[in-house]
Amino acid sequence: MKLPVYLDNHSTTRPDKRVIEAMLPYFNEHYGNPSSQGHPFGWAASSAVESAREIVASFIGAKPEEIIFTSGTTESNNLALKGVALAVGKRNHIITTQVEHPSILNAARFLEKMGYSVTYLPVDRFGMIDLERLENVISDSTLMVSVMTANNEIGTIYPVEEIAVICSKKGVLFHTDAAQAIGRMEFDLNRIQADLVSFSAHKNYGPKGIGALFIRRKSPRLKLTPLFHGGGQEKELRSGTLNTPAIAGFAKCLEISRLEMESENKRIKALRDRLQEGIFRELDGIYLNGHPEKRLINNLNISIKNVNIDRLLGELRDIAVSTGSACASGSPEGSHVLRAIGLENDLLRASIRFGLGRLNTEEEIDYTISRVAGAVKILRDKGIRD
Amino acid sequence: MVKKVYFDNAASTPLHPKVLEKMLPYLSEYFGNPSSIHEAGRKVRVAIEEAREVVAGFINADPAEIYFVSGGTEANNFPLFGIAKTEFQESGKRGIVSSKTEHHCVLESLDELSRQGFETILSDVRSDSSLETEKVKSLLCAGKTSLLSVIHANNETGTINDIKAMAELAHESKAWFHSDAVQSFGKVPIDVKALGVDALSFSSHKINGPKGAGAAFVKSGTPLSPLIFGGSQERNRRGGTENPAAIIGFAEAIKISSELMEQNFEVVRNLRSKFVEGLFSMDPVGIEINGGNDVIPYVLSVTFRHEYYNSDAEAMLIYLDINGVAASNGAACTSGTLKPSHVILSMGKTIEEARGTLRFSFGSQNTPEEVEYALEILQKLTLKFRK
Repeated sequence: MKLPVYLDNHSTTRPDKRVIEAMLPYFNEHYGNPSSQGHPFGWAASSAVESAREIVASFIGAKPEEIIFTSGTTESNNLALKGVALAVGKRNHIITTQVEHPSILNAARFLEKMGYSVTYLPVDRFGMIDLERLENVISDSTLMVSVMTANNEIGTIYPVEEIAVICSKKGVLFHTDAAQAIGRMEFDLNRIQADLVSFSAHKNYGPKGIGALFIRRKSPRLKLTPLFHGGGQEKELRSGTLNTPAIAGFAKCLEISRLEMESENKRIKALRDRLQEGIFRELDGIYLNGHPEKRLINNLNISIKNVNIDRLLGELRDIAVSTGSACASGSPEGSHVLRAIGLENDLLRASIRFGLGRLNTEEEIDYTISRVAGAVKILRDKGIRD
Repeated sequence: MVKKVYFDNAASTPLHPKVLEKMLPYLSEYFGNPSSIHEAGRKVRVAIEEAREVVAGFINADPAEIYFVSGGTEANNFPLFGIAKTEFQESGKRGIVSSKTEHHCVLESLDELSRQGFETILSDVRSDSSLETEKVKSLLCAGKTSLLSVIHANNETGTINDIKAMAELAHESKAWFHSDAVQSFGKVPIDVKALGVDALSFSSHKINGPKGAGAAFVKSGTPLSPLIFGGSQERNRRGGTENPAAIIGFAEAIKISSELMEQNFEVVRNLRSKFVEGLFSMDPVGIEINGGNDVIPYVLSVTFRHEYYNSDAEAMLIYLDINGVAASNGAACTSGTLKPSHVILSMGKTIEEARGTLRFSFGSQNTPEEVEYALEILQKLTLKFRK
């Protein structure tokens, strides 16, 4: 077993070897600009982009023309929120939740500064929103609802299929940030009638620097103002030279998921359950954050009572975990998600997030259980608390 | 045997093998998220900050003045919107001056800013596509103009603008100065302090680095707001997980360019001279070289005058392609559209002339033999397309 044990797959994942292989030809063989339509260097690149687009689209039950490539989920989320808000004149109300990723929350705050009104729906102690409440806050001025498919910190899975039905009934747009869900669970846009979906490759064993925004083709056509203006790539919605190798890698990682995710997710869920059971068996004063059942198969977020979490992480250098989302690491206020589910200060600051992935083994999980249990016991014995 | 000759390096370049070598570990074992606090993340964070120092050092900037973004288009959009909007909030100034020969990502950004209430004026250019200092001066208005943006080396003609003079003009009018340096970066020395620019945009894949990385230099103290909100990456100015492999590849491409800049420049200058001489000896009247004398040798814009040729760039490109020569009819973003180049038109050329204009762009990997081969094909082309 090689140390450290990597259990931070919600932050990012190690690109699959097959993904890197799929990228290589586009670095120095088919290196043309996909927008160069006068020569085969460009054609090879653009045909790679278009076949990748088909693979990416079909993975989520979309049509190729509904996929816009971006630099990642953060850009996709910004394009969805800012792009729709700025393009649509009259309606100025947006509904989202208190537990979204910072890329949604900060884009929403920016829109608030511009005069839009934003409702941040509260969540219960499992991180779940109340659908009735959602339905009730939708008004004539509501433009869009944005609720993530699965939470990046506590793994709670939201009923996006039902939310989409509510939104469509009320005549408002529905966007979902599916960054954490893609590859971890079924996600079929034939069933989920979302209008906009953001996701990326690097959460699913693909490369960093590439993501997509799904924009449902409907009539009248959904209008968005681009974030980047220029050469008019991606149907004028996202200018900039297309990142061919990353796009090829994105498609490859989804192709692998299509073939392997069912069995892989079973295996990872079993490992996650083993980790959860092991820690709860070995230690008392452990609290599960997130929904007991409606939770990502690879997520385990716990709060540990009566221990100084920084000291604990210091003891666990051989295990790569996180105390919140990677983007918020080091923020003094603590996790906005844990705050939203109502954790008190001692538990709020004492959380660990485990994100399991493709490469984890049973041996690593057993090692992690014993290391966590051992370290917590030692610190508790020494009386090192907050 | 049909060769394959790539003369479209202004659109994109092959990745340097050494660059790929540096990138690969960050696609495999060093895959951590640089924002993560554990070792896997911190290692990558350190590598990104080292890359930032390389980029900054190369243009004589401070590392804290470098913002990594997804490419040249974002590198231009970000400071244009960020400076114009923040300056407007702070001082109420809404005037922006730029030129008619800018890249689409500048022109379209300015269009969007106009729709949002900003007043943008685009300066005319000389017949070689360069900007006239006096003309720009007359358009700047102290108290109204917040930003002047001028392309350094034009992507279609290679013409170099006097950025230092433009920056001085902007500052005399209390305006900020931005330059799109995507085509000059890594090819000619750029010292942001000596040039006096407040913001500069550049990209990786034009200098044998990977696609998906670019950077904006924004001098500290310049008003700036984010285009993409999210985590606290890039000092709260650009949310989103960084792309470490691309950033590290970018820095390596810069190191290589920096070491070989003069040498590469000479190689490319000789290629271009050879190309130009060849075209002249073919037809000194019907073929025109655009861009004047002060051009970067990496770009060669050629007009086949319609009085002499059935000059349709698309047909000529197909002919070149069949014979293994890859060139373009302008910016890659607009290739494939039938619109004549705005750059060529702004030089006072007719629509027919714009339609008869080809761009050959060189890289240091190109050889004199490739130029000779292209000239052979062009010789045949002139016979085939002559009226």
